[in-house]
Amino acid sequence: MSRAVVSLLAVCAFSGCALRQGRTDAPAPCSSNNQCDPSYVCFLGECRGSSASLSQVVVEIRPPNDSPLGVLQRANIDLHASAVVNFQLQPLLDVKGVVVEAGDAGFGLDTGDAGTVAGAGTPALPGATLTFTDHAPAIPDRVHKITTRSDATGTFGARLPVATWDLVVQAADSTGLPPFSALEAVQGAGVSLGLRVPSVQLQTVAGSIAAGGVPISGASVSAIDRTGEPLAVPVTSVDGGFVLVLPLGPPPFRLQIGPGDSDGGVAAALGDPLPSFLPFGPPNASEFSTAALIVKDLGALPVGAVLQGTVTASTSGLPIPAARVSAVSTDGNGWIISRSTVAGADGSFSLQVRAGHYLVEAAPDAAADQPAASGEIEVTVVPGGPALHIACNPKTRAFGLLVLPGNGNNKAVGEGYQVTATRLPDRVISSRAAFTTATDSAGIFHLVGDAGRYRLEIVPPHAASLPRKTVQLQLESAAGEISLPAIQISPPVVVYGTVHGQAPGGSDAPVANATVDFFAIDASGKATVMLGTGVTDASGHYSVVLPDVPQPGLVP
Amino acid sequence: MPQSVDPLTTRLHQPPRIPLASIDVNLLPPVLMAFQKGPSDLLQHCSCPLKLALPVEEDDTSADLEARWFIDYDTSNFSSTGIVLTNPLPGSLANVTIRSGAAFTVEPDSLATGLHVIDMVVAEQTGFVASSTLPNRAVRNSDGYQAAEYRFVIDVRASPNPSCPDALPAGRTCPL
Repeated sequence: MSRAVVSLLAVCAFSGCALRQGRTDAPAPCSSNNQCDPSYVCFLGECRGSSASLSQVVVEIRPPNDSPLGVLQRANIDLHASAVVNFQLQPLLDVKGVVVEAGDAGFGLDTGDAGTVAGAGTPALPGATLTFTDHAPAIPDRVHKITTRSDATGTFGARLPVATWDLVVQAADSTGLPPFSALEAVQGAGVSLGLRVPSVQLQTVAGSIAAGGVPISGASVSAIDRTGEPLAVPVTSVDGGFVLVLPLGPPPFRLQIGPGDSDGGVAAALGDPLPSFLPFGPPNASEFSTAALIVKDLGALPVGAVLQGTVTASTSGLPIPAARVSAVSTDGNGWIISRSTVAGADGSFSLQVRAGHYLVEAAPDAAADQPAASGEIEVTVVPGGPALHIACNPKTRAFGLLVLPGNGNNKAVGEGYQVTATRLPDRVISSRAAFTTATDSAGIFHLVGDAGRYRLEIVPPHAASLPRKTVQLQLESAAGEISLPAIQISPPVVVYGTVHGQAPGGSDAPVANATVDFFAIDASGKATVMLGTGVTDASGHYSVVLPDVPQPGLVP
Repeated sequence: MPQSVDPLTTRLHQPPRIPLASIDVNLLPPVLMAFQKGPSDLLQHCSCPLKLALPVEEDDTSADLEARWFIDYDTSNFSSTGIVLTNPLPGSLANVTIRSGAAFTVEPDSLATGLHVIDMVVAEQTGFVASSTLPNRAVRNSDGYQAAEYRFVIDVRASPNPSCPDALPAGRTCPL
């Protein structure tokens, strides 16, 4: 640094003058906030501004796995206010305790001296599964769940970040005991829990289920709460009858009837397959609240039928071995049948379903040289009906251009921009990845995939100091390589800060190698879009480049 | 007698590594659970994809790496040796040794229930070589290239509830 600049800094430092800083200029040097524009913050010797458009973001900070500090999630970070955001991590807390079967003591959870509940006559519950779930995660689709198991003496231990946790204790299946739920705030050090799982204060709920007067056997019967969480160990119906063991009360519940096995179920008296029925309560109410006998006829089911056919490549006519064929019923009578299978070496397939209307789709291997998914096909299935011949077209080939930020800018980016293309789920098959290349020196990338709607995630090389970009676009089926609309990278805002924390018995110190992930919450409020990620250096400092746009990730 | 030994960083092609301490802790259990759609998911077109992501450490920041993902790779079953997804991890002049971007989303409904093995193999892009004994994942060791591998074991199960569980490392996603 030249002597003149040093002198200027010294004069400013003593006079308290501000070094005015335009948002698009190089950062001005500083040694304190007083030397920066009032809306700027001095961080690591430079004046750092705030975002122009990007506002609320959420963050997850994960220390290295061998750190005694816990994961931190923080919501409502306003980058309009400042783009310098520091985080303090809290130590992981040791939670330990014992699970006992406490006779007629009822459900219970004691914090403090866990030993008091494990006295004489209170047998320990070995093999119980304890699941701690973050009660109020700041990031809605990143819900932390930590599971541990009690040992032969009923003792368990876990290390949890400071938070409030939903705790579910599920005794070993052999006990037949229902899940036990509690809310536990883990705030202080040395948390000790005594968990009493009752053995007698339970009650049974019995009933019978039928479909069109025919008892349903082999169906899985579950009692669930309004959030869909199970309240009892599921049982299998026998000749239509079932008996569930529920907590005393019982708490309000709905019944969920579904296949008894993962391949769609075998209902002895009804033939294969058994559908999944929507959860139901008593007539004129959404939930059962008494232990009265439940008698339910779910309505007549259509007769069984076989959907069979072949999967071939449209260009060669050759069979496509190992293509996955999926069928989903669309009749919507309070139940749904979803079946899938894998085509054989000759491309043939066979699915046991019930007569009715279905959406069918064949999905060959996702590799670039394999044919594309067939797309949804509407099929009416009747017993003894004709075979379904599915022809899969070649995958669509496309190329696109990435453009640098700036109004009216059409200057291509350089090479090395990563492009990830994910085909969004349709009504039959889940998301699938497309084959992509990184950009070349002309900013061009290539994509090979199924026709359909895609989410493209573009990650610039680190040296570009530009943000990720997430866009959605439609890829139509076409012969030859087609051109995609040009995609412009968003203008950047750099967020800086320090991650620090105090390990037990230590002093507050920077946290190196912590991962700092920034997200925006999408319009549904239930899902997030990854905006950018960074790793702290040895001083705990991080810097992450984010898109400075009002609604990142929602660009069509 | 004084000796000098060339440090590892003088190799022509420095091997990439998977820094275990930087892997998301939710991905560290020996077996990861993945749940297929429940009946409510089918009606709402929701699913619980399992998002796998691995950091890759490479001392040569300018080296172009490539991460390849495989499902149930078995050299005795040729169709299983295909690359399911490729993540290019291009190099740069920035002094960043740990790279993100090696990521793969597993859709449980695209797999049969039971145990599956997901492999990630990362090496320099130019190091991969055609091979009949180790298709799509062999590298030219004789030229100094070396690959790093990481293996996930996932247990795909039918959803026990009407909706598949919304908890890391999976997350329930529904269309807007």
